[in-house]
Amino acid sequence: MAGYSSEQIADHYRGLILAGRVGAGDRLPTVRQIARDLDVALGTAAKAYKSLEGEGFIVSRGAAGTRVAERPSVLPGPLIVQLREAVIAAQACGTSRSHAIHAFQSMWDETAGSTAAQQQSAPG
Amino acid sequence: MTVLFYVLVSDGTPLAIALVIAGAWALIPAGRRRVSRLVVRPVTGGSPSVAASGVILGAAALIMAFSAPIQFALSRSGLVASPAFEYTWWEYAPVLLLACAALAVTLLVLTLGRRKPEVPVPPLAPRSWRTYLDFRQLRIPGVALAGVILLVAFAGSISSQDDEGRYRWLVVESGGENRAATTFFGWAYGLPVLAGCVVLGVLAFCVLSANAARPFQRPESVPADEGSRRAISLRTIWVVSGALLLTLGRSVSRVAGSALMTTSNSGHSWGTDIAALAPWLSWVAGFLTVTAYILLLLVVGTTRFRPAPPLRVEEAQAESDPARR
Repeated sequence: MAGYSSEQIADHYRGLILAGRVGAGDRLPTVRQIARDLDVALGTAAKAYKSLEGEGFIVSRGAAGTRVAERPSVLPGPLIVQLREAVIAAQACGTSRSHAIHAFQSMWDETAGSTAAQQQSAPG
Repeated sequence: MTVLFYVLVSDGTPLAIALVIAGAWALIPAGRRRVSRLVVRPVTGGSPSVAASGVILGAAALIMAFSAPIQFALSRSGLVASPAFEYTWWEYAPVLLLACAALAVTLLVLTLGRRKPEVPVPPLAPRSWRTYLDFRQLRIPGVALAGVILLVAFAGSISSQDDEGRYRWLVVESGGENRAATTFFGWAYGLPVLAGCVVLGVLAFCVLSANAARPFQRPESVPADEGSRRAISLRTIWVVSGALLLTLGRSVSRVAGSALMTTSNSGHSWGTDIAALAPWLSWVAGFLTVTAYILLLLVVGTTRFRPAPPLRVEEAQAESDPARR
């Protein structure tokens, strides 16, 4: 993961919070630890945390460290369960991570497009 | 003069008792299982500093376990001044100083030998000095440290000044102008011991932190790497415990020896105020010394002085499988 960008690091922790792998109030690794473990500059890790803080996912409490916000905008529980089942099923079929993500994005765009079309054609 | 002679005339009996207990403990399955947690098993591609740290702590434990015969041999050879006559601030602290040196080298090896990760593993939670340590493992060093503080305060408060103003004597007044004095664990010796304990505590904290802070090499090796981190943390704690207990044991033993001093004048004899405590203190000193030797010998016994082939990832995963433990 050498050369990871701050966006990729933020994506990773955003994903962990959305999937409920870290809960509200849980302590997150320090910026220094992330920089050391991922072999990135301190500034890169700090930028990732700053962006997550701006989105309201995490809060920095000085010496008390960085924690997941009390009310992060996590996905609904049933949706997390279904997504996890879909991931397990994809792995069982031998589907690659990138293929599964592409298929998900394609379905998302297709569904979003048809929903918008239905709203436009609806009377009133 | 043989090595056996030096062992027998110094701390031979507690060391022999500890050898028997440690050997028996390592033979029974429950004991062997517990002791196996001390074995450092580096994984393929991991940093050599992991194995080196295990060896440094093991070598330090070996020297500490045989420190009494070594000191005795050195004093007989004239290389070290006889403590009975000259004041040496480190007289009660050589084991502490040795442990400090071992932890300093371990810290250096863990810090300088840190490798960049091959496939970085994003951390899920903060790692600190406590991460790879069971809090219950801190009970022995905690009790030993409390014992050292209490002993230094107690012995210091009843000690007297020597001719040069150092608090290192225990004086027995026998009426009139007569008085007898013997060397004692006063402030002049106790405060350096306390300072050594503080330095040892700080170094132990730094080693535990550096051990936890190392980046993981690959996602597959995380379980095995965590096992080696636990082993290094436990070895560190046992070496610290051994040093504290051995220092405390020897100090208590010297206090017990000084407490038995008597002096006589005009047909009457006088003893020290703590003479009644002497037998109890001797037993406590023996117990502390044997416990220290057991911990140190178990660290020595689980040291892989010869480099063993590192665990492959599959072996590491199998070892970390809870069903196999």
